[in-house]
Amino acid sequence: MSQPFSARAMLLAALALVVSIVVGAPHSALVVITIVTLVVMVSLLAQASLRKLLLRSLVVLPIAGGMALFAPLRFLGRTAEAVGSAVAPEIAGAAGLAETVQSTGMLGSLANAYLAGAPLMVQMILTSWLCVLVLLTLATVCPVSDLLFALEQLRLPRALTMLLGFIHRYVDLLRSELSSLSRAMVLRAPTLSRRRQVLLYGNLAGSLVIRTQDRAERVSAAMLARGFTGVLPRRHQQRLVVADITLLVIAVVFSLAITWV
Amino acid sequence: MKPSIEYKDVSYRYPDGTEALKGVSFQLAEGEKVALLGSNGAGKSTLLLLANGILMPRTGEIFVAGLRLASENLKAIRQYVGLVFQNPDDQLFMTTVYDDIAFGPLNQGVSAEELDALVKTVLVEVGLVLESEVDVLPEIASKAPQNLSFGQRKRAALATILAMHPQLFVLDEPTSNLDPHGRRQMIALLLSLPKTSLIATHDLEMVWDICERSIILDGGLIVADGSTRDLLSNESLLEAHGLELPAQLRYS
Repeated sequence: MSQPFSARAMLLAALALVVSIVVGAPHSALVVITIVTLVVMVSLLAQASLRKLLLRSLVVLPIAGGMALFAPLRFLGRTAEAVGSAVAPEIAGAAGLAETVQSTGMLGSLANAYLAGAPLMVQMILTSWLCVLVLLTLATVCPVSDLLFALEQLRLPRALTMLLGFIHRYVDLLRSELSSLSRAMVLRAPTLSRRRQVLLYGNLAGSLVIRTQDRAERVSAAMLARGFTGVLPRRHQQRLVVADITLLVIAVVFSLAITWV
Repeated sequence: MKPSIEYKDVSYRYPDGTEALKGVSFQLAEGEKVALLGSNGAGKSTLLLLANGILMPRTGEIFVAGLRLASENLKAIRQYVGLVFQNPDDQLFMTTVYDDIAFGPLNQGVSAEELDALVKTVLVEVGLVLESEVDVLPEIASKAPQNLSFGQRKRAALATILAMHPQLFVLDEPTSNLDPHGRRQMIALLLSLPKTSLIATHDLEMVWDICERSIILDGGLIVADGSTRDLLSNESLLEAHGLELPAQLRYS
């Protein structure tokens, strides 16, 4: 996978885009298509797998969908005019809200609120998905180490970037330890009921915590052995080059356009 | 020759009450390569962790290049003693091989400008990069440690210590879990180290090839200390302390 720009420039560009997506919501179809096109172009440029990227981005849907379910409740008990003014005019107009919201008892009121809030739900889900898509694109085209270094250059505390680095470094080991533990359990108890298996997973989690603590102690010892005194060493700063600055300018202009369109 | 490291009646007990070392005394002269042999739980790893102050002795004293092991001398002692852990996943904790190799030197105050050259040099030394390939920073330097093979990780772990230029290498099971080819490469690498080394291992063939002197630990006590050839020729001694001479050495 090739990386056309520095991680710092890409991180800033992605953050600008995310802020504009959040601030500029609700978005027209044109804006959504433009952002998705941008993501496609960046991932093609970086030779990343677009399919994988899109599939991963869907992870946010259950979470965003779950939260969006509560959004229409703000319309409960409101009059048609109040709903019309609470929703962006173009959405309210397109959905014909003023005509649909009526007070018809508790259930009817709930149904009306969801009817009125449906466009808002869609916008919430869309906004979350676009943000996650942009951030996932960033994480896909930039190696984690570069991203962490970029975060450091943006003055994120070194201890925090180290912690994120450790998580990234050891999450695979943790996963493989968990899978070997669960394999060992299943092999020795092939007829175990699902309920008992679920209970035993509690024991596995306990073993995993102990193993993780052991490893943390050994890693700490390895750090001490290499002269770590509590102050984390810092690598040299990298300057932004012309390509990075161009990317940032484009990102800012694009973000402002999204916010104001 | 003056001692590189000296253990004087050192004992260590873990918080759970396990008596790992019981009055151990020995010294290593500069330039010596010494093997630390013993069955599992004999106290080898504890003895190694004491060498650069990861653990502190309960009783007794340790002197490293004439400095007494104490908190005020730890910085100097950790520059002198390079400790390589058995499991490279404990040693390689950063997100890239480059960052891992740079971690020690940066802590020692090496400037960021010197790092690239240093990283290239040690990667060549451990055989992860050919000398002809180091015009630019080698690709392996930007790889995540978890994406290397086990053998490569073992060598990268050694590279992290080589980059700190220690005078005494302390290695825990350097050939464990390596395939035969990887093992041979590691032995060649250890042979090429011109430094004083203390190597804890079960690999007696390697000991035969590398170390002129061996120390046998059992139950936290030194039960034998002498020439490797003499100790490994004494089958009853080895057997009594849970060690076994490989067939290749037995019939050679």
